Amino acid sequence: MPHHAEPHLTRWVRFREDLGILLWASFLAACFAALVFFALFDPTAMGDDRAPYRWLVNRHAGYTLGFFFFWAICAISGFITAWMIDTRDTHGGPT
Amino acid sequence: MNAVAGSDDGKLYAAHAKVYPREVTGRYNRLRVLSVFALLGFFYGMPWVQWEGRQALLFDLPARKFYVLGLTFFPQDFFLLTWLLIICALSLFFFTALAGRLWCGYACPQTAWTQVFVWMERWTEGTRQQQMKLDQASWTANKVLRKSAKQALWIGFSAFTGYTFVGYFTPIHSLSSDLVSGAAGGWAIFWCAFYGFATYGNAGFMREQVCKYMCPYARFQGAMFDNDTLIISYDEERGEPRGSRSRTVDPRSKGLGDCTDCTLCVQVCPTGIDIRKGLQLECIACAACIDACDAVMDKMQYPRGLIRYSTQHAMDKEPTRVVRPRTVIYAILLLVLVAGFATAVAQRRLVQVDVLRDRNSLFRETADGSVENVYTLRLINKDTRAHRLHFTVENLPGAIIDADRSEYAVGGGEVVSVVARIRVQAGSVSGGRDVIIVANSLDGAIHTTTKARFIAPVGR
Repeated sequence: MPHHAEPHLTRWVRFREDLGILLWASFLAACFAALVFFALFDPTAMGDDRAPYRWLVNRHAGYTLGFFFFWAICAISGFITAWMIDTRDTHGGPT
Repeated sequence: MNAVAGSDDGKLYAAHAKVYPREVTGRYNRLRVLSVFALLGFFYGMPWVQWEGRQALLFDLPARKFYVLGLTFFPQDFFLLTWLLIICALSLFFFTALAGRLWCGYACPQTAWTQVFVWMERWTEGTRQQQMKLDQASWTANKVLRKSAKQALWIGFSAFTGYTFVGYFTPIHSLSSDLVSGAAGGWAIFWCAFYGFATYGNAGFMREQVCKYMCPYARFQGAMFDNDTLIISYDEERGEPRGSRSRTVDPRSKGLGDCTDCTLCVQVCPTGIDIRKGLQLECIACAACIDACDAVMDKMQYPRGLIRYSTQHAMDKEPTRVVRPRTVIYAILLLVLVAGFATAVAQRRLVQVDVLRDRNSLFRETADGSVENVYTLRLINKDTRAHRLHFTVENLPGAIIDADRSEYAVGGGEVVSVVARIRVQAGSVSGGRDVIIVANSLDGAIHTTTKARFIAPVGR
């Protein structure tokens, strides 16, 4: 079992799985958030004359960037959660 | 190399080993193929179906309108979508309680697309044995050719899938001509590529790992199971002790059960488990092992059903109850929700009027001594035909509503914004008051009332 011979590889394998799970969970949460948010708010109605980014006040751009914004926020939350509840060998717990 | 997570060496993490599902034929496989054709046929065909001159099923995000056959839905109908999703979730619970993971085995998009990708893999790389051999072989011209052919099929099919997916959100006819002429917008191309990439990754590489590690349903479906739920199980009592034998030998004389230990049930499994170890979280109930085992039983001239659809109660030789509190409660809830949904859709107001107060001033006093409030009325026509609307105001004696024109025409599925002023003699009202704006169509088909706030100066 080559992965277990080298601890840093195991860490990487674990991190990769954590990352996969948190990206996926945040993707689902972002889908839901975007669905509810854009059902209630129309991107074209969100800008006024002082809006800094005119190109954002457009439904295609608004929906797309809105979705990725939600995904990023959810992923950051997931990442920090995963990092803070990390129970790996540093605490002498089971490896 | 041992690929089973949590296996003998006591380590939790083992490298993932590719599952090569073996080809299988049989009645459940026919059902599954039928289901793949029906579901994917619907997915790829539906955007091309027209209804009254437009796409029958179109979630037109750029225009913020959803067309479902003859009905048009607006963001104001969002609760209906929520309701529909609750119905879908509850149906899933109901069918899970009744028949286990039917969804996973036959209806899940992950299963359907994976099946198509596996077929493409077989067309290009051959059978399970040939695929395993090819993966171990060095990079000969033959291998390069076969692998590139597979990738070409996969990528082409994924791209077509992404394009079809976007066709549900932006009219597919104009999307097609835009893509051909190169005039398609960047966002549409981006989403085609994004969904295509997701299909390629999920159905080409992740496959059973999506079910094992990513799917939330796979994690909680066990909560809907009980001893009367349909599961795929191996008849241990009949099968054990397993062992190979000649077809001519009576297994009982050798002290053997009916399982010939041919391991075909393991080889055909798309998630790479051994059903003979009992029901496992990884089992997506696709019944491939049943088909494989039945074929062997036929060959050995043993009765079919060593691996079969069964229930825990049946395995324990107890009666199975289909009607039980769990299924009855789910069924009643489902009926109530579906009936409520149908009523809500049928009773939907054909024309909705949203009132937005002018944000810049509370009121205006005009030269002729009246108080005026300004509103924007958004007239949302969810009907397929046009309506001509005129307005009156109620609950404010002596008030008149002035919308510049006496009537407004709103085409089917259109939204029209109208600026309207409500005027009342100064002094007849003090402070805030709820008024009702009534929209009537000239032919009497529409009568919609909407509440609005009228504000006048206090105490004069």
